[in-house]
Parts: sequence; structure tokens; C-alpha cells
Amino acid sequence: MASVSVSDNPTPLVRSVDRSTEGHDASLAARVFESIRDIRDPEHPNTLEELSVIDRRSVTVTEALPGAGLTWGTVSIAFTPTVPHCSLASLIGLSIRAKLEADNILSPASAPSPLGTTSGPGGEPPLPPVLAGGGGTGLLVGVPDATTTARNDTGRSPHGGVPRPPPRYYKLDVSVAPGTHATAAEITKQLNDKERCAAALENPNLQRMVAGCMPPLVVSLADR
Amino acid sequence: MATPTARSPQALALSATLTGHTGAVWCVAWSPEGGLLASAGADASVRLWAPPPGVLDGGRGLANGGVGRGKGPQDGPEVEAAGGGDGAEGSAAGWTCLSTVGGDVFPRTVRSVAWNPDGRTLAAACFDATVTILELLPGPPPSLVVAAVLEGHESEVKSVAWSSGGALLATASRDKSIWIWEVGGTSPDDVECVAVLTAHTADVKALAWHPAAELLASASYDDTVRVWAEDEDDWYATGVLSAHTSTVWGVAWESGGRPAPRLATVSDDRTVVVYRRVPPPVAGGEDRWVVVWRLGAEDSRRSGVDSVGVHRRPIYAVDWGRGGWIATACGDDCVRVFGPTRGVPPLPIVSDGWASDPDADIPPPLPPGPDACAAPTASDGPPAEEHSSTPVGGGGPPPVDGGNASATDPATDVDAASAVDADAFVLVGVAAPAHAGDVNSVAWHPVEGRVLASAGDDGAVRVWRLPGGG
Repeated sequence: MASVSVSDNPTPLVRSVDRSTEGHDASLAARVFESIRDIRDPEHPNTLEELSVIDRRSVTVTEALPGAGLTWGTVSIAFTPTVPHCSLASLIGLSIRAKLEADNILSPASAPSPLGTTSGPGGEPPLPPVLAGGGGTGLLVGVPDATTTARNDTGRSPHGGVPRPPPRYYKLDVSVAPGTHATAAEITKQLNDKERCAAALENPNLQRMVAGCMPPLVVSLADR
Repeated sequence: MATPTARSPQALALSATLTGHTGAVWCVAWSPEGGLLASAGADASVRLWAPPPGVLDGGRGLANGGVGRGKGPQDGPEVEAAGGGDGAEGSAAGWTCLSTVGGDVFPRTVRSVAWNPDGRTLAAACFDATVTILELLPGPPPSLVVAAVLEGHESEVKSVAWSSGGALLATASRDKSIWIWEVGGTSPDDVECVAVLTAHTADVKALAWHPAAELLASASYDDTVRVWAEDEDDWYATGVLSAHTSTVWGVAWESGGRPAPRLATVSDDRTVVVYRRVPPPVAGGEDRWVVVWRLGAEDSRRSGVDSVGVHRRPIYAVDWGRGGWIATACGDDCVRVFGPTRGVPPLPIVSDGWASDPDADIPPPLPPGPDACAAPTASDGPPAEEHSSTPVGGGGPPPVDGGNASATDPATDVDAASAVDADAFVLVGVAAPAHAGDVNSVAWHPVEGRVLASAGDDGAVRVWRLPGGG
């Protein structure tokens, strides 16, 4: 990847952020934004929020479609690079992904589950948690509780008559806001290719660059 | 045109959940005789799993080093033979992890594993740009050891695949190339590169060899599938398949010994496409690959597939089992199984010119399918879409009209639609969800036609059974 330089946009427009007027918002969208607003832009000593790369409206939460038998919702984040030819737009996108993974915001571990433990209706012991995360960062996720679908051997329709629990977790889509970058579609494509992202985040050079974008409180990402 | 009415798909029965990987599992692969299961993942390890003796191994009890258990209940439903009760969710049901090849061998994610058809070696694709050949030591108990490391790719290796005869190993990478390696056969490390194929314009994601001939299909981030053949040591692309509108993640040939196996492909665009190769009318003419079935969100209603049959996220893998079913692994956490619709006359089977025996085949036994309304006869209609082959390095493939039944020529609308549906599939089984995260891989058991394995971002490997049958 290109080394960090300030040549793309030496004098970005920086806005000041006044948090004293913000109310407390416990919604997922607010928590996601809280996690990513202070990520540093790779080229400037300012946060993504200060540079208007993202704002509260950049985060969209879509809950699971009822009746589709799915246990996940979607969080979509659309960001605007500082200039339309910003060469480090991919790095911004990767940093957003890495930060949310590190903060564990999108997994059910941080969301209250109305079903309590993951024991099935037959009263089996709770399932051992297995580790999740496309990037291998070790998010702890419960095995799906959909015992009525997985264990049913009688041919009953898997999606009939079962009460729909709220989503267990959220899948993340990161995109460059359309029209804000010369190669927005290409960057968006690779930011949503989890294999490319996973491989990139295994690269020590990229790990260092992503770590350099993290707000000061986060001192290190997962080891791998 | 009447749409087939689909009976509700059945829920796949979960036989076992295998835990141990400490990160996403990217790939599962059955040994050629089906007695062992290999998995590979983001925790930089390859694991070897064995079912309880008497299950899936033809009674040979491979986990016990070949001590037979006689005629076990392996013909019965897995839930009884598993020995772990009813395959309760989370239960390993008697499966064991025989061997783990870990961080001392692999410095980074292992993305894909593939067994040599002789069952003695396993190739592993690693993100460190190497391919490791592991040898299976019989034990007992069986274990894996490193036999060779193949270097050459410039970036992550995504896929490895052995030709059906075991003579060739193909490897694919983010460096856009496919390497063909020849296996000498004297020892596991007697492997040398004989060709580098460079027509793709972006990462090559997946590979699949034709079940009988040395014909290779490759799937790429450049949204295309290419089919490669060899002529006197020169490899060339015989076809460029462009029905997808985004990265193609998986490709699978129809198995079961058909003389003209179809090709199934799955993509980031959330669709499944099935192609049939039409041999050139004149010897030496161009191949044509015809789309004979397509399933996307907009196709579901026409295909009679209801909402759970629609893939909601990128589809990461596809496998076509000997039972005739197509299984998909999707980022919406589901495993789906599609079977041919009953009552639809198949297109006349002609040899695709690659397999040795051009005699008309007997279609594989159909699963208890839906009572489909008869579709219009398909045998006379012109193909809905054609994809001419282009020579390597030639111009881009012709643009594809998104797989819709409406062909560009209104006069051929009905014929086009009927041809597209002639090979229609319907959803016959589903695990929704199959994993607590994206499903990255599905693999049909090579012998037990209703058994399949899956791997997910949740770190789990699961073994399923499609209910029904004997």
C-alpha cells in the first residue's frame, strides 16, 4: 500500500465536534457511530467525524426481515473520502471494519438476548460458544438457537409457525458513498470482499497502518 | 407458462457439530472414500476429523486403523448410527479430531484443502502464497504430515484442486493466475509446475476440475468463470462465462458420471447459475456455454422457489453431489439444497465431447421432488443465452442479459423462457440457519448421497443429512 502522505489533500475542511449537546442514545446505530467516529484519518491529525468522512447518518441499521427465518440484521456504513481521488480510502474502510470488530459491537455478546441461554426446547445443556469473525479475531458468538429448524427430521417446514426472535447479530457492509470517489464502486467491492479484507488484515504492514488510525484508547488489535 | 409448485423444502437434519477451530472455518473436504473429513481455517490450521466407526466409512472403522466393525448401520439414517443420541445440536456425536496441523506449519490462514483422488495426500492453500502437500499417515490413528511446500504464487493462494485422475494439481491465487502442477507419483513431493494460466483480470477465487476429463473451471473476482483445456501442453481458455455481475466465489461440476456434466456457479451477486456446454457444430469450432438455470431474487417467483430459497447475501461456495443435488453455502448463514424438478423433460443429453463415452446417460435418481406442473417442452427451443468462447487474450465476453427469461428478440420469448427452465431446480432442503455466521463451504459426501458437511465463520464444522430416501 502507498505510504501515508499529505499530498492528496493538504488542507482539509475540519469541523469542530461538540459532544456536550448530544443526548444519550443507546440505539445500535448510535453505538456503532460512537465506536468509529474517533478513528483517525490516515493522512490528517483529525478524526473521521471532524473531516466529515462520516457522520451519524452514515450508519444505517436494518433489522432482520420478518418471515425470512434469518437471525441477523445489517449495519451499513457509507463514508465519504476527504477528496474524490483519495488513495487511502480503502484503509479508512478497513479501519472501520477493524474497529467495530475489536469493539465487538455487532455480535450478540453485546446485545441482550431475550432467549437467555442457548439451550434448546428439549432441555439440552447450553451449547459451547464457538469463535466467530471472518477475520479470525475471535469474537465470541453463541451457536444459533434455531433448534427447531436444524434438528427437525420430520419434514416440517423450517419457517412456519416459529416465533421470530430479534436478530442475534449484525452483518456489516462498508461502502464509499456513491459519487464521492473516482473509484467508489471498486473500493466498495473490495471492502465487502471478506476474503480480501481478512488477508489484508493479516498483513503486518497493513496492521500497523490500521493501528495508526485507531483512537488512542485502543492500543492494539487482535494478535493475528 | 406454468410455474412448478414447490412442496415445502425440508429441514436438513444435523448429525454432528465439530468444534475446535478458533476462527472462521473456510473449507471442508471429504476424503475420496468418505471416511475422513478435512477442514481448514483462519486459525491457520488444518484439522482431520473421523466419524464414529461404522459410519460413513463402509464399516472399515478408519478411526481404529482399519479394524472393521462388520456391516454397521451405515445404510441407515445418520441419526441412529451416530451413537451420540439424536445428533443434538452442538453434539460431536462420536466424531473425533484425529490430527491438527497448525501454526508451526502455516503462518497464516489456510483457505482451502483438497484431497488427491488416491486419498493419500491433501493439498492446502495458504494466505502466505504457498501450497502445502500433506501426507496422510495411516497410523492408526491416521495423521497428517508435511510432505512438500510449493512456492511460486505472488500472493494468497485461494483454491487448490486435483484433476479426477490425480495427475494434475491446479492452484489459484489473488495474483490472478492459475498454476498447473504435474504430480510425478513417485513421492508426495514429486510435483512440478507445468503451466501458468493468466487470463483472469483479478483474483482467482475457486477451481473445479471436470469429473472425467482434464478440463478446468475457474471462478474469479473479475466476475467471470473460465474453462480451460490443454492441447499438447498448451493450456487455453475454451470458454468465458459471464452471467454473473460480481465476483464468482464458487464453481462445481455435476457429478455422478454423466457424459455432459453441467456447471454450477455462485457469486457475490447472490445468484446461482447453471450452464450446459453445447459442443461446436463443426469440429474445432467454438464452444458455447448456455445458461440453463438461474436463481436470483427476481427469479425466485418464476422458479416457484419461495422466500427461504432466495440467497440474501453473497454465496461463497457450491457443490454438486452424486445424488444430483446442488448445495450452496451462503453469507446469510444458510445451507440450501436444490434438486431437479420432477416432470420437466431434460434437454437431450449429448456428450460434451470431453468424456470418453458419448452414450446417452441415465439421469440420476431424482429426490422426492415437488409435483411440478409440466413445463413446455424444452427440447426444441433455442438456448436462451449463449456465451461464445473467446481466445485467450481476445476481446471481452459478450454482455449478458442478466439471466432473465425475456430474450432480446420478443419472437423467441417463449422458447427462451422454456429453455431457461428446462433444467430448473427447486429448493428441496435447507438449514436456516446452518451456522452462527456466514457459511463458507459445503461438501457432499462422495458415497452417502444425502450427507453433506458445512463450515462457517462461527468456527464450526457441521455434518448434515438431507432427509428422505434410504
